[in-house]
Amino acid sequence: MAVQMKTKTVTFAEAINEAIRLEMRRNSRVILMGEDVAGGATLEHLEDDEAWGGVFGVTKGLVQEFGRERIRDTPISESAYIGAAVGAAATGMVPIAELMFCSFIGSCMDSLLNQSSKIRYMFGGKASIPMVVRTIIGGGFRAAAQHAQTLYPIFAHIPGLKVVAASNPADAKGLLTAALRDGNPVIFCEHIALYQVKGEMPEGEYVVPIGKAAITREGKDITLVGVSMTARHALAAAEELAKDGIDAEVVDLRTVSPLDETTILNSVAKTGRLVVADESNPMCGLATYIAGIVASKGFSSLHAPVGLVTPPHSPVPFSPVLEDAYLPSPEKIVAAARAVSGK
Amino acid sequence: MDVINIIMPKLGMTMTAGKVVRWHKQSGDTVTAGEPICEVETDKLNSEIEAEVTGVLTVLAEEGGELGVGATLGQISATEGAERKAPATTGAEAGGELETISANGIKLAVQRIGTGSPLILIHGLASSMGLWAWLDQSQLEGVQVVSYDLRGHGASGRPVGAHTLAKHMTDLVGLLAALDIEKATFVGFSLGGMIAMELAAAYPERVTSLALLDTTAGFPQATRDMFFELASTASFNGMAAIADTLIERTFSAQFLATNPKIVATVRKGMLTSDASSIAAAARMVAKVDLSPRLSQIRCPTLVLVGANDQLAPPELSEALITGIQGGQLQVIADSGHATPVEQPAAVTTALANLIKSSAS
Repeated sequence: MAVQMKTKTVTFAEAINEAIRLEMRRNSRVILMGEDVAGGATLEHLEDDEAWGGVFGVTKGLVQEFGRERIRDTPISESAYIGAAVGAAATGMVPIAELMFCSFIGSCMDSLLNQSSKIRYMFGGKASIPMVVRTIIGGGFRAAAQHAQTLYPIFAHIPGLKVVAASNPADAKGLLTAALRDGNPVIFCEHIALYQVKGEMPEGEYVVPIGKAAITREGKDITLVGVSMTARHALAAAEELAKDGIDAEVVDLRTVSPLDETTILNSVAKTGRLVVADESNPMCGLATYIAGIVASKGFSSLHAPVGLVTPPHSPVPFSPVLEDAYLPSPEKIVAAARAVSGK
Repeated sequence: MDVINIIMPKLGMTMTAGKVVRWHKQSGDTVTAGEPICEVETDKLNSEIEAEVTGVLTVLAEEGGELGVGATLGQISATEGAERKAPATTGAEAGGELETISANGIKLAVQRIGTGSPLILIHGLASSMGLWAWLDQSQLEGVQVVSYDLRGHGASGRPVGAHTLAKHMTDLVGLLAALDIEKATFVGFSLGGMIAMELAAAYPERVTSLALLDTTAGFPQATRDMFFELASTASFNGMAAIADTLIERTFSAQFLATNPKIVATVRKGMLTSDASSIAAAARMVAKVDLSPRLSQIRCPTLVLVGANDQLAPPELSEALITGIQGGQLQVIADSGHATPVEQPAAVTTALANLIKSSAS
């Protein structure tokens, strides 16, 4: 029998805040660090109880409950505090490091790619790095090329890193909770345009397993795969396609790595057609990888070539007109789905 | 059946007596809560008295007679389960004057009614001095009733920054200085009770006696967690997102069912509160631990709690009287957390007794 969960309407930002709060209450080893994650709150000389809480206010109110020992403002040095998080995790803490924009990851790469992801393997499974890097992905905020990238394929390329990207508040809470209990380094990607998006979120304990995609709309004519923002675009596109008599199934990946190939292949086996929408660049990107998987493992199901909706292989433009043209959209997914469907 | 007295109201700071001009209803008539039943006149103005409750009227004072403030003009035998009239939202509308004073670097809204030894009323979280509007202040004889809005609440200033008991207490000390009050009886409800305890422990010489209503030296962990969550929700989504929870925790189920108008008035006050300030105050409440200070409170202390208080239940008040030397516990029957609203007559009587006993 299905358990009816009590839910409340919250924003994506609030859902993340709640997941951190509940897990910090449950597990005293969980700590949070990053730039302005506490802000001036609780400091007499700077004090503003509603100050900051990260650049988008996601962590506000936490320092008042958990104190500055566990909610730590760091210097503006990503390489220092991501490295510190890896070290803290190695000693048994469960750190959450807030990397403001994933575009800043370059200076932290040794800690992530050559330390955090390797230690379990180097020590034959006797050591682990239970940590979460929360980071902003995505464009649309006129923040230009150095702030607006969607770099999860870079993380997904590294075995030993898990990569998660929720599209709604409920999944954000459930996946972040799962990430904090996973025992491995998890990159938790938050699309910049989702923070104010509202949705129903279960109250209390709620876990969404990592590595499981969700079918957010069932259909029989074509499979639309998306993740984070593009999973929402795919749902909007499906509604539009329904008007043309095309019954689209939507797969919200939720986890980029490990990828839920089974759900994708089963859906394509049912529909015979596939469009993948992804905001990362196409060269060695997520959409091209999924197209490759389906071509090699599900080729006999396909009635048409796989449609890809991605940005071009270029930096995110600063010009608002060009940025809008650059990003995936429901309209582009509808056009690709029509082309793949021959309609 | 409850019998409610209709009394000559105090319509201005200088009023001592008034005249009954005419009764709109006669003995034996059924009157409805909020309906005008009688016109009274002072040397300055005419005013209507409204029925406090639905019930049957008995007229005691004749038309044309001059009577002192507080004199009984008649009575209403309340109908079983009848709803009471929602009072004016601020004491100012009930005859007092709203003043603004500067204390501790902020503006505080204050209201003073009557003359005599000072009685300071301190309201609770997400409330205002309007909390006290249901008390029958004319029953508190020989007393100057001083109520004020806490920082971040009501018409008082809303400075940014964390709320601490120390800041609230310093506001109160500043208020006393501005009003030239050396010593007083302090009545604190819930969060207000915490401020009163902080003051009584720090400045025992300024406290004649204390009344601690529906409060605690520190909430249990689950309640602390709830206050942190309320703060977070208010901070992300505003007061509307927490009003239901606050209302549920404030009133007994019975009162919620029978007094929708009063509940609506209280909710309206919550909705107009400043979410950031309420969040800051809620986080303070979540962290308060006054238990080490209770032994420093030495004045006569009345600890009063609603029997059905779900937020600060009677066992928390019992813990208060074990910690405070000379504390007296009084449990108010048929009341949730908000005793001054649910059982104002019982609270008024208890306060009047406290004032009498500490004067003697």
